[in-house]
Amino acid sequence: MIMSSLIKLSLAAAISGIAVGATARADQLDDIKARGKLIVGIKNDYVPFGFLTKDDQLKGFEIDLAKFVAGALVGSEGDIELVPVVASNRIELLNAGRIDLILATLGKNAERAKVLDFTEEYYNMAGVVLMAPKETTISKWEDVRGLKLCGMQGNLYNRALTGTYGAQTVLFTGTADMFKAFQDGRCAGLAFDGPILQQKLSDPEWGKKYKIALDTFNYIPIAGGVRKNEPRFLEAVNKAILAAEAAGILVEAEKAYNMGETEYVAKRAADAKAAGY
Amino acid sequence: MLFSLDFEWLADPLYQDWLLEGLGTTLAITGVGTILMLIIGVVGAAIIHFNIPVAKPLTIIMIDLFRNTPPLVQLLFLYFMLSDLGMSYTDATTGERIPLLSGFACVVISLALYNGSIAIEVIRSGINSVPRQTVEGGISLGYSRAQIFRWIELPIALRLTIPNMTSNVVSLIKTSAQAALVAVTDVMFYATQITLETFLNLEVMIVLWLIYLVITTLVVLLAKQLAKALTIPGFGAGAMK
Repeated sequence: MIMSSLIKLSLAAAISGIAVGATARADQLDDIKARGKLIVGIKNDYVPFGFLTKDDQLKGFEIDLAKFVAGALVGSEGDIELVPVVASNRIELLNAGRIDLILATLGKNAERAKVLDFTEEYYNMAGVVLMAPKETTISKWEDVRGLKLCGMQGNLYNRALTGTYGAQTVLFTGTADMFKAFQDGRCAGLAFDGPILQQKLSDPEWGKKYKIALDTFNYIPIAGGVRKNEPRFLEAVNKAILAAEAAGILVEAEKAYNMGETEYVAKRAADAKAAGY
Repeated sequence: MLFSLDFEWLADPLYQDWLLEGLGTTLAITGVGTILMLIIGVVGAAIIHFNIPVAKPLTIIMIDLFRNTPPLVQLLFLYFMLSDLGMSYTDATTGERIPLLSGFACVVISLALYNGSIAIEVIRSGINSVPRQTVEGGISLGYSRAQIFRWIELPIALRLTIPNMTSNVVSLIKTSAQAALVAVTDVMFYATQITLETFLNLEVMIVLWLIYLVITTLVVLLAKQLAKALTIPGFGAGAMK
């Protein structure tokens, strides 16, 4: 029984592999030009990268980039279809052919590189930050040695916390448990994604007692994602991203969406300009 | 490669360390939990047997409370609720309020209470099946009630209930997997950690399954040996075959 279902499973895997291979053989860049629009997977719930404004407009750092890329590839910035995606479905949507390009805070890593091709990077996202009570004595990451830090299972930076900085992690499976345990005083600090903790501090009850004690030690490069084996399309997208950087689109977007003007984006813009894009 | 299952992660020294460390924690939880469970079982059975005022109704309430509610609810109650109810102390060096019971303590206590409540009933059933004539023999030899309990009823009851108590210990080992939910780094916790890093859910869960199977099988074999060694000649003819 188990054997036969295992055989069925591996057959299904093999067949889906063939299907993906077949779609990849057509040249995507020509398809998009013939179709007359670029279909981009973006986020619509992640301020400031991609979000809906009060009057139902999609805005954000990555939306601006997506529009520029569509303009460069198809002809005008309006030749675009924006498809909202979430972290758990974006890669499947891409490989199923539903979207051409992911511009949805996709962090670069080796695991993902096995299933898709990354484009040029365009942002450097702050990863883990440390939240602690306001009166904490922790002033640098080295101070957490031997301390208990609450966190969530499944974040790769947990390893650096225990390995590099010698902290004792207390890891939960859900954010509710994690926040409760931290509030109960089970840990000296809470090590978790920067944007989420920053947002938590806007709750007055939390803002009163806690602060972001340490900024991140790990930045995750954010890049676009395209299907594997589409060299012409990938090259065209890469050129468009570099052109967007050179044209100052991303520097402007950082200002427009209050993201702070990072050295990273400014440097990439200068480099792209110097390289003649 | 076995049916395209990938067990290469088992060769990673980090994952090996994690599994061994987790195994150590699981064995520590179950070891301490089992000892506390047996103590609760014997003391509780004695309280009910001797009909001790006040203590007996309290013990019966405890049995009903812990035996008839899910152990996971009890664990989450101990871990998250007790500190809200004021069970915390102030750290002398930092001046912070810290919950009194660590995650590990909460897991051990919840297992000891849950399986201990079952143990009380198991031992009581053993005491009730000690033949009346044996007890009368003790009385005629001038034993006091306490002496009869200590030297006649309890030893026979514990021997007779080895099979039931073994199931109870196995249940405790299996229930210990919930420790991962309060961030105690047992073998279940590390297995989850490995699946989150490798995405090999099926393979890691197969290994985890085997680990628990080996632990419980060893416990059952040990209990069988114990039952054999402690057989009362002419009585029950080896409680466990």
